[in-house]
Amino acid sequence: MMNVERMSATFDEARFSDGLPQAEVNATIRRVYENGEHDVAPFAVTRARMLACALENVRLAVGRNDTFASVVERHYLDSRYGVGEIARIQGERAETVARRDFPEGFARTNSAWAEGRFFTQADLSHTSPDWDRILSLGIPGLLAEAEARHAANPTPFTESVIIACHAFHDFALRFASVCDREGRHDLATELSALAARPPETLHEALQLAILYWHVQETEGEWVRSFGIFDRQYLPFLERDLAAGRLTEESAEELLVAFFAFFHAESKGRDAGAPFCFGGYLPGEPLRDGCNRLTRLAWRAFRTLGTPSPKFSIRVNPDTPREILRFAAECIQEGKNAMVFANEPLVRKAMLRRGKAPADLANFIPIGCYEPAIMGKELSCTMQCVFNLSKPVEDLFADGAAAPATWEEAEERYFAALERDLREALAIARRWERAWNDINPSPMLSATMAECMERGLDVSQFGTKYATSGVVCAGLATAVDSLLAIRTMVFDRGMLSFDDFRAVLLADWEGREDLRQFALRRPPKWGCGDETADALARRICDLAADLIEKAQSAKPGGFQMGLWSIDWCIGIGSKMKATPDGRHAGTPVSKNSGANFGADAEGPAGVVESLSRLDHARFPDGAVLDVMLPPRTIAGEEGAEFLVNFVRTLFARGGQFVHFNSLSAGKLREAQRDPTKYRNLQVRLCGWNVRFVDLDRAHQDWIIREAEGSGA
Amino acid sequence: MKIPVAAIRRLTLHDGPGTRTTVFVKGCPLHCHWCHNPECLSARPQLLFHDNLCAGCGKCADVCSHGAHTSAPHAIDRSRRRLCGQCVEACWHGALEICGRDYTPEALLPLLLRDAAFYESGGGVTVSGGEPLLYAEAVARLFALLRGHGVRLVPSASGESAWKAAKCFVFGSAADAELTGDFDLSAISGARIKHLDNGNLELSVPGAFVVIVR
Repeated sequence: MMNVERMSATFDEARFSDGLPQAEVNATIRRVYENGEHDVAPFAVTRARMLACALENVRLAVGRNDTFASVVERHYLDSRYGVGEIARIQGERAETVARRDFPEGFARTNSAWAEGRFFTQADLSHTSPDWDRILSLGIPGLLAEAEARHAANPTPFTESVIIACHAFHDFALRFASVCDREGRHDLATELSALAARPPETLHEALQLAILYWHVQETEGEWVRSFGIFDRQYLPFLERDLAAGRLTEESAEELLVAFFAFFHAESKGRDAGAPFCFGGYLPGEPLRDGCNRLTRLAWRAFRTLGTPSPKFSIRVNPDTPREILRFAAECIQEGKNAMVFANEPLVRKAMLRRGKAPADLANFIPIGCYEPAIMGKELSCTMQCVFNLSKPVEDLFADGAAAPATWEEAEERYFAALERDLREALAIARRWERAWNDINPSPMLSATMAECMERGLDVSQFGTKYATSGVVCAGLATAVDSLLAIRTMVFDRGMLSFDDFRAVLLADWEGREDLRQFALRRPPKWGCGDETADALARRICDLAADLIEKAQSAKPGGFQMGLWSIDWCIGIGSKMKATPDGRHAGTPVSKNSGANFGADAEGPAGVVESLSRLDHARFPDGAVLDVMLPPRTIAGEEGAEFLVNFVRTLFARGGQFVHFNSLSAGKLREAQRDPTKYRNLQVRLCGWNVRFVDLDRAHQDWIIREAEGSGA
Repeated sequence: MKIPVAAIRRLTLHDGPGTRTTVFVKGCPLHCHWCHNPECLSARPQLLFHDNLCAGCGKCADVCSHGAHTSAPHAIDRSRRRLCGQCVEACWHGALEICGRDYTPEALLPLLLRDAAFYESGGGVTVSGGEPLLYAEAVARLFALLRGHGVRLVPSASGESAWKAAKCFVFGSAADAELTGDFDLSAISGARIKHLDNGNLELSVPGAFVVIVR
């Protein structure tokens, strides 16, 4: 933990020797924005000026023992928590544009979300820059390209990119001067070099990654992937090893310091910095790309054991077993900030959506587990969040006539699903068009080759591919609820439909017996039950059909995801009781898995059910959460089991999987005595957090999951 | 040719190599005090009661035509229970369960092949119990069927029925089955056994069993 502590101290005890206080930075950015409003310059140019203003004025620090120049008083500008001026302006503009361009749709998305039905947004952040270009061109290369394009065909876009690249360049030099002032001439020399040429050493490449990360996040788009780390940074490592600048040991130490930065900067309270590993290299025949840097980076990950960074690994039949085994051993130790991706399946899903085979080697999980092509895709993976279980509630709406047969109930559910989804997608399309008005992104665009060739910002869909994700949540709640209706009302005649309505309205009050029946007896999703699985398949197929065929403002269109992250809590909090035995206000089912406690056949049953869905229809991702009691995955057998589980799930068509191994007793103890469990981390959704940092609702939710697993 | 089954557990890790599915049969000629699956001692179906799930609603008593259940607090008169299943059906809380159902090898086959993909890494199917070799002929048939699908097999046997197993496994249709014994060798010696298992263990052919294994 030494590096984390050292890095944390770097941030906590930073002595800022340059830049303006928070209020002044914010006021300056606001002035630039407001002046821009009265200016003739298009908003993209104003946005670039706001970025430049932030980078010119934000306070910087470097410590005597810092490995990298990395401390930016970033939270003053932080778009993540909505406290900075750029974030405030993003929010204001989004609302202004929406009210102006689609006031009814905007009002509807708010009212639909208030009842847990769906929400839509201009998803500004779920994309990845082109790390290959950042590392190969460096700052001057990006700037030179922008200037050449501008000279050939000057447009507001090229102007905005030039301003952004200059700001990036000046930021590096400003940091260099801070380093000089603090006596860190080594870092000052390196930063000056990075302003003048691409990186040559591993240290320089990692320093550039940190700088770029600051710049893009300041611009207002989270960096949702650091690319395919082992492939992209290997040449730097090999050069350093050959030249004797690094040994494997010192390289590993360097990586520990680099990764520690991301945890120290966020204190583990954000969604984690995502790094991808392994997978097929470009070209034919297909060869897996795991290499010595994969091993070094994973060893560094294990040494650190922090919630951030988070790792993903692209798994294919050629992935070395020892790498998977190493990952499994990390999970055994509770260092489970990782997700496994089924690379062949993702490639199939991408080919189905018209992506070129040559681009597939650059597939990366965006954010948590949303596949996209690095550097070639604007992938707004959370453009819309849709609740598959809400139309069940609609069956019981006030004034709705009771269906006479199960078939009628089922058809009404599907009709309501279609109605809601069409409505959500129509509003989502309006948001797609609005991004350019809300948040042009010149820095991010500068990294994308096609944006530069076409002279279009990412927000104008200048990338080779542009897609919008529709996150479909609550599958198990929908399936189990529908089959509870079928079993209890139509098959067994236990109560009338109207009586069921009254029971649900009363949140099962006085009818615990019925609730227990609903929880235990009807067929359930996630148990390998053919009836439940067929219904799930039908729901997913209909949703995928509607989503794929919906008119989108983007060339790549909408694409379905089968996941929820922790929206299942927010959605559930707005819903009444459901026929599957769920109480009002409690979470709906999470991601693609079974309902709490409904996985009577254990993970094998869930895998069996999932194998009956076509995961290639979920190009926006689909993830299974597996919660296992610590004793199950202990020892040699446990590690082998984890590897086999991943392999088998993927052989049976699953897309992404991640693991928690927690004991409910230990979690309760951590609730009682947080100081003793400061480092206990949990895989919350697609990211890890320290358990003690969660609010009570999230803590209870995790405990319930751990209990459901028999832990 | 039937096997009385208490439970089928999927993704087991401690009943042989790799990731397995384990069939727990009912019935055992031993009655060891340390048995960790006591519901598998009797070969006959049994009514299980999960005290922690009982809501005390009394529905079981209401529906029981044999007067086997009384409520407040719940109690079962086992001399009256008939395993008709009425109480289990009435108990929506899941507190009552009938343990034990007869399967033919053919009926078990598809249930055990559901997880065949998990077996590929060296796992397979274990038949445990109870004493699976009480049903050696049926288990041998099941093994033959599973081997036809390339499934690796482990009978987890007490050794009590070793000689009968020898006839089925060495000379019978499942002759190439992997056979392991679930012995506590320290216990299988001298008078201690007589004390621990009420004296009904007659391990007459332990040497023969080892021969079978190899």
